[in-house]
Amino acid sequence: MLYGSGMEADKPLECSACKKPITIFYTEVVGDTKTCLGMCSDCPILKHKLYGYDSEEPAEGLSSTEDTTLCCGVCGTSIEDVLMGHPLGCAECYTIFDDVITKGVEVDNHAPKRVDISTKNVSTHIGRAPGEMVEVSPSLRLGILSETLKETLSREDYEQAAWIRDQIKKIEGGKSNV
Amino acid sequence: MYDALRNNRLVDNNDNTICLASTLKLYRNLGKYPFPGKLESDKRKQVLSLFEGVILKNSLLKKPVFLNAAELDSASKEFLAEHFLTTEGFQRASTGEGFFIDDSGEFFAIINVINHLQLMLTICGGELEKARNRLVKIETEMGKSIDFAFSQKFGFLASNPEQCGTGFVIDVFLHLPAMIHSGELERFIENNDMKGIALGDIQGNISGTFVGDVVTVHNTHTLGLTEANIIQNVQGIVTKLVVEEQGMRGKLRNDENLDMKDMVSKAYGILKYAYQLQTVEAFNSLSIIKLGVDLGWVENIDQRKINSVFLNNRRAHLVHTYGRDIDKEDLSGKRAEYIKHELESVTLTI
Repeated sequence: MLYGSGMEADKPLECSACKKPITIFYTEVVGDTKTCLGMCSDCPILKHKLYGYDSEEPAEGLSSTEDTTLCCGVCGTSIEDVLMGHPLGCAECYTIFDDVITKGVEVDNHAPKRVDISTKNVSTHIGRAPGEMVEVSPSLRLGILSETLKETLSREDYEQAAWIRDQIKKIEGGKSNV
Repeated sequence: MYDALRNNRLVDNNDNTICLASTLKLYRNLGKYPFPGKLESDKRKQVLSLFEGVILKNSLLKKPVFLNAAELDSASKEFLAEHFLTTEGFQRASTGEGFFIDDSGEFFAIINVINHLQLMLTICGGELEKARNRLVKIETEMGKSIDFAFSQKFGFLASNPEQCGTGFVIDVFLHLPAMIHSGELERFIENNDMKGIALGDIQGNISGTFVGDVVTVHNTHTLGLTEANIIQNVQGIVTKLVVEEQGMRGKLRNDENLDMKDMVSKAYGILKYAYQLQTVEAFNSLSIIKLGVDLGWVENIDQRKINSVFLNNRRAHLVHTYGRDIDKEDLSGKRAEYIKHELESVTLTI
């Protein structure tokens, strides 16, 4: 249920998230539990509740010059700090500013396109977790050199090809220049 | 401090003609404390002593020692930055911040500067996979005693969200004079998929200008990739660059390129006869001489020696070599003196 501002005079006057004047009251009924939140019109929590992470709406704060002041309750880092590229203040910031960070990573093109990080609750980190030890094999380099060797032979650069073959032998023997 | 590093000057044992060094970094934070930017003084000290307990007992390190940033002068911090080829500045590191090194001369940990922990290995040569395995073993050993901040979605949580995920960044320092002076580097960048890779100068700056013809290749993605993916991406570009540079050097050698011969001769003259040398001038001239050594145009010096002179004429190493503070005005004079002495027996064959 969504109410416009001023409809209930006894509600709190500040947004529960960012201390801006309340313009929207959001009431959610799940089973027997009813929760009521007062929010400003810019509130990212509202956007999450209305549209979820699949929304086509741009992430809060990334698209506009709107003045938002969502802050991390643990360290006090504000959404402006995050948008301006300042370091995050604590681990909790990743939860509070989840959508901004996700969109920021996308916008800045820091994650490869093949990794879909726009969908809610999808694990985007695909590497190790703490405590895991996975060895990386030197055969990675052999693969790259073999590919380069093919490319070099295809353009008939035999001098280069000979040098690459030497490097492959050196890796196999434990010493290489690349 | 110097003893651990003086006996293990990495560049002194490097005979590689193109690859000067590589650095591998892991950015980590503790889940229970605010990140350094929001960390109060008393908690900063707690974090520091926590790491002191964990790192000094780490059995994978060779006699690790702690260096308190508050007790180090700026020349010592600069020496550390030069030795480990760090691209991050920590000149202003002070109380509640510090460093760990060990007898290998390759291990470096920075505490409470941007992240709680920057774990780092600097190596000469191209053994990225082995170095990565070693670094991860050190990190995993530490993880038995402390909890790193981690989330399923963002992986290891870094202060800079662009470095979350693996929190793993590689820099490979390549010497590419033949490609740079022939314009081939620009062509290479246009013709290759450089996604997720950036080329910087020796300080890591993306300016398009490469002092001393040193190009650093580093990954810009840390999230959504495994460490093996990152190594593969960086190594892919590094291998192609090395092969191209090698090819260009072969052409210069076979064609007896007059322009390059002229450059080598002029660089020789500058280094042998100058009384004052600024850093950039020294780097650029030494780069050309280093190329000349590989082409066989410069004799009586090997790659190991020229690599050593190339990196050891930087300010803090120079100060250390002369064993005392050098006035700013005397620095360029001392640099010229040092290089002239080191290249005393060098001759041209062209």
